[in-house]
Amino acid sequence: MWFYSAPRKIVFGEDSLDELKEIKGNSALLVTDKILMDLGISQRVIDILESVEFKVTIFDQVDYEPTIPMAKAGAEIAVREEVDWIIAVGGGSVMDCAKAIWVFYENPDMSIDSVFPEDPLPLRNKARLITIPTTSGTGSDANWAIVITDPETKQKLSVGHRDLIPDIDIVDPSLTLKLPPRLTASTGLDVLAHAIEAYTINWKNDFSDAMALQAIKYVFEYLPKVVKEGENIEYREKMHNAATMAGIAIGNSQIGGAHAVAHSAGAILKIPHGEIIALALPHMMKFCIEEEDVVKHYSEIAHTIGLSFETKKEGAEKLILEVENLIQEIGLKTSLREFGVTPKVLQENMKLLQDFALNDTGSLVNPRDITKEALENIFYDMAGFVKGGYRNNILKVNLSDQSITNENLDLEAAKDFVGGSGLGAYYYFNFLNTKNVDALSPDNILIFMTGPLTGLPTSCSGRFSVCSRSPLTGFWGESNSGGKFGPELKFAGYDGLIIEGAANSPIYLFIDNDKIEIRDASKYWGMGVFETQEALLKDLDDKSFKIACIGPGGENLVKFASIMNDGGRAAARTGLGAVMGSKKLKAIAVKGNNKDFLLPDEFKEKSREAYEEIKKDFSVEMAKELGTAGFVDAAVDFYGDMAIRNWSESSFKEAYNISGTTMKETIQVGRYACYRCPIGCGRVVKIPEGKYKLSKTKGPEYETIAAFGTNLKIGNLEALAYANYKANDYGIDTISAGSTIGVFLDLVSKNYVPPEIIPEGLDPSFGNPDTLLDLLEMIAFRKDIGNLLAEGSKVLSENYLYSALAPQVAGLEAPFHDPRAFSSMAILYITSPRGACHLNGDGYLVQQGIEYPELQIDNIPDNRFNIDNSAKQFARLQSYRQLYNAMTICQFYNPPAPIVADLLGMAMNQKYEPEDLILLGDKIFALKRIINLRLGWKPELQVLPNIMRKRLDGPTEGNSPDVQKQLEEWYAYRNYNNESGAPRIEELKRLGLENLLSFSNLED
Amino acid sequence: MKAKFPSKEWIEQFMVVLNNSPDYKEAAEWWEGDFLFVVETDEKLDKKATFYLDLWHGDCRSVDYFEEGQEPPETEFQYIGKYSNWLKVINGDLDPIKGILTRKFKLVGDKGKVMRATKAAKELVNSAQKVPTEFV
Repeated sequence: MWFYSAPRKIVFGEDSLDELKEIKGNSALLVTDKILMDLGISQRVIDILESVEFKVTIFDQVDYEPTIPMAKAGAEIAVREEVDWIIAVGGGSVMDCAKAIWVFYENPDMSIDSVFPEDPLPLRNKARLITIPTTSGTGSDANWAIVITDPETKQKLSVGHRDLIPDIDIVDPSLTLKLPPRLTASTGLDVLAHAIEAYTINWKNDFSDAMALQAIKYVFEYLPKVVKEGENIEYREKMHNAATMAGIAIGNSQIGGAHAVAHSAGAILKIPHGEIIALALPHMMKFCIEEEDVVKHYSEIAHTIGLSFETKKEGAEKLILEVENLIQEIGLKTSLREFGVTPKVLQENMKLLQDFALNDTGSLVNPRDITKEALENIFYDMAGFVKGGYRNNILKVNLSDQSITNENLDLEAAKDFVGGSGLGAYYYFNFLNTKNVDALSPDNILIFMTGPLTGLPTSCSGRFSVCSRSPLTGFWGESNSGGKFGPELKFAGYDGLIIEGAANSPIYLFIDNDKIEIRDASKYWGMGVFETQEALLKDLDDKSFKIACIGPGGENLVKFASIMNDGGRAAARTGLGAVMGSKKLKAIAVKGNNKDFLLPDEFKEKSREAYEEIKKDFSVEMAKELGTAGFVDAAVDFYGDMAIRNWSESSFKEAYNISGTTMKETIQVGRYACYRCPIGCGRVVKIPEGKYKLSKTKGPEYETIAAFGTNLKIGNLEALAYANYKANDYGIDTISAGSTIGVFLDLVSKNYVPPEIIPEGLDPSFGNPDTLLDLLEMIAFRKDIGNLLAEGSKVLSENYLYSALAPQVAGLEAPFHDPRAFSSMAILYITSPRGACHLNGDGYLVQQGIEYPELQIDNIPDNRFNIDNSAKQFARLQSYRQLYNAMTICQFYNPPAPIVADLLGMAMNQKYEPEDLILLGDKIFALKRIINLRLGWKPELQVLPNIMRKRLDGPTEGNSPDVQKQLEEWYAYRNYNNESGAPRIEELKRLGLENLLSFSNLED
Repeated sequence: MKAKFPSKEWIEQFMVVLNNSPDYKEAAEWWEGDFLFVVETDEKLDKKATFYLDLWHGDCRSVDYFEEGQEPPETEFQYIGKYSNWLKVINGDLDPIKGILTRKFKLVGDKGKVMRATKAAKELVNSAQKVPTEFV
């Protein structure tokens, strides 16, 4: 047995207000609000009542959230005036207030929360109720519910009794003609929510279903129309009737979880009901769709509104989409963020939000059980906030058609590939499945990607990755930079930025939170990196912007052009500055205001723990005190780790003069740090006078000291600092530039370069700083021989038929850690996804004793020249560093792996153990290997260059790594096919990447 | 005759070997700074021992030995580690820089200065290996 209740009389259509002329009585309390009084709408009712000699007392104190004291005040007036009718003219708030007044009028000692359906509720002894809705609407005019707020507890109470059903419900559409579009939209959405919930709640019945379905049909058909054409009486009538029908539906079924959430959030966050229900409804529908019954009911609704589908699940999902589309079409807000709710506000109020919602009737009868955890997720989804370190937003900018789109971050992919160059690889892989183009083609894409730890309140969280096809190698290209640009992109609301197409003329991308513009950059084109950043900041007149830009190197498509940010920070390797230049994208200026992240309380504590750990790390101490250049002395004298004279000599006495210690004693004037970095390995130098005079600027670090110093036998620190500045200003990678110049000078010394090729005035010998500076300029502007050098050392050496001189793997010049000093660098270089790379595994540090016992990288042979049987450990190191480049955090920041696992887990809403970190790195590595195979990479490229195998005296003691042996062990451990280079099918399955199988020619 | 490590005899023999090392002289020709080598206790050594070395431009000008309870002078540098780890260094199983990176040794003093003396540090170890030693 169940019940069906509806107003004793519903009078609908135009002129239905005339029904008031038929009522009998003397005194009426008109419950309304001031706005309706001012608009004259309530006056129409008063006029009619007074025309039949009613004494009308006006109670217009109702605001958008009726409260118990408000209703009690109205009841006092009703007592005083001895009213026989209570007439509610207004929206849902007025209706609810009027019913509450009625309760208190007839039962002065009753508490509102004791109104209960099965308990007696004496009514109609003093007065009867007429409801005249002026919105379409809450349906409160036609049901027996009251929603009222207790201001002491702030809770919105939902109470009801069948006897609260109005005696007469006058549904006159003419009262809604002046309703503004926004209110029309929000109240209309409330109708839909009522009807959908009534149709799916366990209390549903045939009678309520009939009302609900008709209401739903009318909403989908007429709501978008009436929002646009509010004066159309037909549309108004249909929506007004729909509201009453939906009100009857919930009166005889119930509201559900969407309303529980809306009531809670509305009361606490002070958002009008119609607006908040529009946020809550689709999210609650997605929550409920897990229930089979709900799928059935949603599909029935979908059928009613004419959607076509094959399965019930499909129908249900289409309905949700239709609801979302409707909400957008009628212009309602779609996230709490848009109401100014911040992550902090949400976090602070979460417990209350959950408690109110759980105690709401809607939660109790919802078709799917609602838990606290579920509510938390729903509220965060409604807010548009992603828990953890992501922003759930990828910004795509097409420079060809100037389109700008936001799309959701692929969170499922993020679980596998994390962020940074891992997620960059995922997006590039997807792109490759549609197009396989040259690096400098306008159709190529350029990806800037942060990681889940970028910008978070933890140490060393300032890094980001840039990814694309490398113009230098033709294979997978990625580079990694620090500074503050990455965090700023995150604060602006983006996990990543994908640049498509190419502009016709120089432009820069302006990102100020959600304001994105493509702006003319012709005045900056031709400027060096430092001038560009300075000029842009001046023109933007806002120093809080962070700039990433290219210099002449990128503009002239130098194959190892870098992207520079925050002064002298560089995303240098693999020539992605040229990709940016090919798109005529001179710079990206980004500013972001949102530094809030939804993180568990433990995150702060764990970060503190990590910081205490790294304080004990000697390498961190060294980096802090002497910068990376502090390693120069030990590298040259003790280990033989630094390349000298194009990797061909073993001692360089002037190394002392160009080390980090000398820098500290001479030209260093300060340090600088990336975002939230306690290490501050960056050096600030100044040369007040002389040939190499320099204002305060970024000083050279280890790699540049090697590339320009030991590699070219230049022992003049001031010259190196100046050359570093120039290279940065040109926007070219110092490692590749120094290597390529070294190869050139070596070729000249061996008489492979015809004298007539050598530019006039250039002294092509090692040891001359002027030579270095001249060649850097020629490279940046592709002048004379610089045009050939700009192609990189591989092309240069092949041009002169002496490819053995080039210290490159797969086209990328090796960084300056010598595999003859630390033999693990051999396997790490030749298997690195981007070519010879030190961010693919800092074996040189591990072989000096830095271990990761929780990752089983702790049994490294003492003999640095022989890593037999250790390939497994270096492969694991490789994967760990792949993960670092995905998280993205600095590789100098090495708290114990369990702490890293905890921090990453909290940033990604996952729970990780140390072994999971290796698995994630394995996945990323495998994806990049498959990308490379698609781009034409072959295992034959896994060769250490001849120049790096030649045995030398000195600290390397004549050693040369056994690359073949290392490679065999490595392939065996990784379970890759050493003929094709591809991961074996079994390995892909272990990694959960079987979906990649169909995209590569993998043979087991 | 073998000298016990750690002992006064040992450090005095070490000084002789060091001062006769041309490789050390060359590597440390610029070095100024005295050192304490502190041997901490572990399961093999039950009393702390401290060596003092006055190193100056390639020469070891003087040495001294302090047992537990005796107060060594303040020096510009200290290299501190457990006995077992000192054994590893002297036997060539652990290089002194790795020792610091793996937290088996603690270095007190201007790290920049020490880091550019790694060759000299290597020669110190080489010389230590040449001292006829009896480990306790």
